[in-house]
Amino acid sequence: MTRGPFRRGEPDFTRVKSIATGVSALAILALTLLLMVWMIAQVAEHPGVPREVGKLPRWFAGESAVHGARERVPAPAAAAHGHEAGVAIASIKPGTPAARAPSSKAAADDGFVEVAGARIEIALSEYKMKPDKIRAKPGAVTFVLSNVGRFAHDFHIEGPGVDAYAAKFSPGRTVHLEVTLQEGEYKISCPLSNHDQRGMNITLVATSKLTGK
Amino acid sequence: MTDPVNTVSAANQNSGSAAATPTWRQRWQRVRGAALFAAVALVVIWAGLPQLPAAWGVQFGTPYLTFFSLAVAGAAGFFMLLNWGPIRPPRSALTTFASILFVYVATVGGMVAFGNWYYPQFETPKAGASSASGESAVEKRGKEVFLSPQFGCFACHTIEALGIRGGQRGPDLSSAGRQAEVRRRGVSAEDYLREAIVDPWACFTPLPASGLIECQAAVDAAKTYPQMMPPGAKERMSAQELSDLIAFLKNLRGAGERDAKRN
Amino acid sequence: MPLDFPLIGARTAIWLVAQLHLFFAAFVLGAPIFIVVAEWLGLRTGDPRYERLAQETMKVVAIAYSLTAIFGVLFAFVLMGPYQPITNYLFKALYPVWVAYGIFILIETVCMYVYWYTWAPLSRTAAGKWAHIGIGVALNVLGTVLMLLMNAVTGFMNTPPKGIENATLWAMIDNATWWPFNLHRFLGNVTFGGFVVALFAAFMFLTSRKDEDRAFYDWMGYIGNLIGVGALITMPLAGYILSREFFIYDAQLATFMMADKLSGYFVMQGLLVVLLFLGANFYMWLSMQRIEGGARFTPHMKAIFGVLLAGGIIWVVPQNFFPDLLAKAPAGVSEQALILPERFTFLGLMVAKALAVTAIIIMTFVTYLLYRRARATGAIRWGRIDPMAQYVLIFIPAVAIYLMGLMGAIRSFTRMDYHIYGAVKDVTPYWYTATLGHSAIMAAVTALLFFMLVAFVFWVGFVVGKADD
Repeated sequence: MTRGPFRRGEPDFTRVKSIATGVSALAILALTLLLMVWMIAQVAEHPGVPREVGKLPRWFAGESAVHGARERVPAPAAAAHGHEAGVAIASIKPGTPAARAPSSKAAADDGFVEVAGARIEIALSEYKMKPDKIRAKPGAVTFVLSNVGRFAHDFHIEGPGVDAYAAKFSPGRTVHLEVTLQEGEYKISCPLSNHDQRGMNITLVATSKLTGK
Repeated sequence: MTDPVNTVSAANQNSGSAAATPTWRQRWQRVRGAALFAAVALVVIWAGLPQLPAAWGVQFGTPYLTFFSLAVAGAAGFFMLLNWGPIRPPRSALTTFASILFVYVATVGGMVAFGNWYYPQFETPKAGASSASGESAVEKRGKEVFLSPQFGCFACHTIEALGIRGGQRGPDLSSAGRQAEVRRRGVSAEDYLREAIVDPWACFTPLPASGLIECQAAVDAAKTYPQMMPPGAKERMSAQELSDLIAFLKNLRGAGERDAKRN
Repeated sequence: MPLDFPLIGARTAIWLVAQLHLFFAAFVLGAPIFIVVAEWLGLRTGDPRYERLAQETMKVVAIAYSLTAIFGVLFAFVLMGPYQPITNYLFKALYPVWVAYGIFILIETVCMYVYWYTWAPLSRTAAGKWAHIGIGVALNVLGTVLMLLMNAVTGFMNTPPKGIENATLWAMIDNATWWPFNLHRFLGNVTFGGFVVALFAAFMFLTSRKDEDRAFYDWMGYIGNLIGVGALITMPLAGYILSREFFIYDAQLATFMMADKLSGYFVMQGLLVVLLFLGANFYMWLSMQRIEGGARFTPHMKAIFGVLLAGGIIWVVPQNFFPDLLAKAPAGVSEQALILPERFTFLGLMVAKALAVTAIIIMTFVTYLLYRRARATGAIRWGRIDPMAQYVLIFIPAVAIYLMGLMGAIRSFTRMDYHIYGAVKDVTPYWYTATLGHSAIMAAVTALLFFMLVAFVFWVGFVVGKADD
């Protein structure tokens, strides 16, 4: 004896299928309601307490292998102002040799960083330049400027016998600027927009008498 | 053995393919190419790209690698969908509603996931003073009293150091704890705060511009704030709430400097 | 003591009611445009499908209209509680606008009832039909006027005239962003109306038992989608015009929107718009299959999709992963990892983005050209389409509605911590800019609520209504 289109002995799936359909429909409905309740709980705000999320996705902390390797290079000990890894990061830029002759820098007591060599490294970020007080020897110097911030920056140095600009350079780039310093005080700043006002400036004193350490 | 409901709408969808909905094996044949592309691309992104020399300038950070992975997966998924072939229509109104709801929920759920877990969130600017982790239970309760609409302290006071931006009729309380120590000679911070809340007319807060530190005996337009602090807090607040509030205020020792404001 | 909304807070309450009001308002303003055009096309071509489309959609609009009004009233109630000072200010400053709004709502309601109930009687004669279409046009004009009035308030809150104390009423109405809002919202309404009609058609297709019904709803979905995508193509331009006005009004807004706290929102917006265009083109791909011989365009379509995906990826690539200007890279992650490498910086700039979106728009247009070509050489088999297409027609409005919710959040946050930018500060505890995650959730909640309500409207209009048949 056959039942409908099914051959004898074959189980009747119709009922099972309709139950399965009903159950999955209910499941979706339940899921939607749960999601709604969870979301509303998340956004219910209590007066005066700003939502602090600040949670970063877990994968954020991972880095690409190359960066990871270079990140471990500690900042030169003498960069007293650089509690960010600003100077260390500068070494990651493409083309920069991994091992660099460290320029001799020393931190003097009055907050000035003293540079004995002809190479002055400055890291630009929002909105400061590190180091922001430099004492250097007059003569030919090369500024090594690295943009470790997020926006393009400019570089302008003004003082006795010098009025030089570096062309605007984007984040991640390192540019060199050669000038000849005379004895005296120089003002360095980023002339873009209001960056100088927000703190992107350096006082550079060129003197042959470095306190030295 | 085709379902009468299916036949009409599923028929002749693609030129040359079977009239009925494809089997799983047939579907796999169709989407194989895209799946393979995705697998290869992912390998290239995660294993290949980081190995390239730095001089080539293709050093992407992990967030970007993840972005490219998602893009590749999305593109491959899209091409898989193109080739997926006809699907069976839902059989009943309930299934229809449920499947539509599912599309909706999956879509908005995906967006919520993107907004909450992929893209990083920012922290509300805070400076110096007590952060949530350093708070004791008492201070936490005190903060709640401050923020309670029942008493409305925030309606006139702000605490910039904690990012609480209330009204501007009264002074900023970011350094209330530190200031309370010196406001009244011989009076402890706690006692001063208690007095300032329950009996605000006892002593008048000096204006910052006046240069005075101690509270003054009389109100003076040039030297003190006008007294707008409403009395009567004692009647509305319980003793517990009051002491919690005082403990909270006493702990506010804001440095005074804020992170760079956007305005 | 300032009031606050219990449980969820004042801002969440306003957000919910305001956004739902906007969703329904967009529908009851956008769909009638579509309906009147369909009615006119029905008269001109003699195709009875247009008439049926117009009537069925109007039925839904009529039911949705009361929901629009209800949410408007709830919006007003929530405003009157926790937001008394700003509400007072807005009513005092723009009182004639509010009065006009009330009057026009009344006239529009009357017009809508006349339009609906004279449909059958007037359709008996050709002259009557023209009169009926005239009433429909009047309905649309009234709806547009209502939108103009409310956009004046919106624009006033976002970009009030500088020197607000001495501003004249007209200066307050005709503020910097009034016309950009009018343009953007008008086009958005048309898009929204088209997509919701397609949503409705998809639902009816999937629950139809008869071939003729399926054929009709397939066609209806196609028309709805066509209108929606046609208007969608113009939206990026309208959006740019609006943003440009913001930037001209106050340069600080440019930084705030693009580099500071709203930058993440725009990344997400890019993603959503890409999904919209992909969905629209995918629907056309499936539509091509129901044309006899349409499958020969498959390779062309795949090439188009390649370009679309490439453009989409370029459009969404973030310039950096800093959610705002103050954020620092987390411990152990270098700042450089969170920015595009120097060689690819251009991908994050406007040039690349504008080119990408132009490419996407052109490709979508090309898809429609291909469809026309296929239609010229083969017959369309309405109803014989992969049911997947109906789910795409559901996906598209889902994304569009979500996008609308997110964009609304952006527009609100552009006021920063002001109620009226630069003039009236927000002194409630909810002055701060919410995070992207928070807004993503709010947009999801409002989208799902809207969907539930629309499902109810459909059910009342078509399931319960048909019980008598």
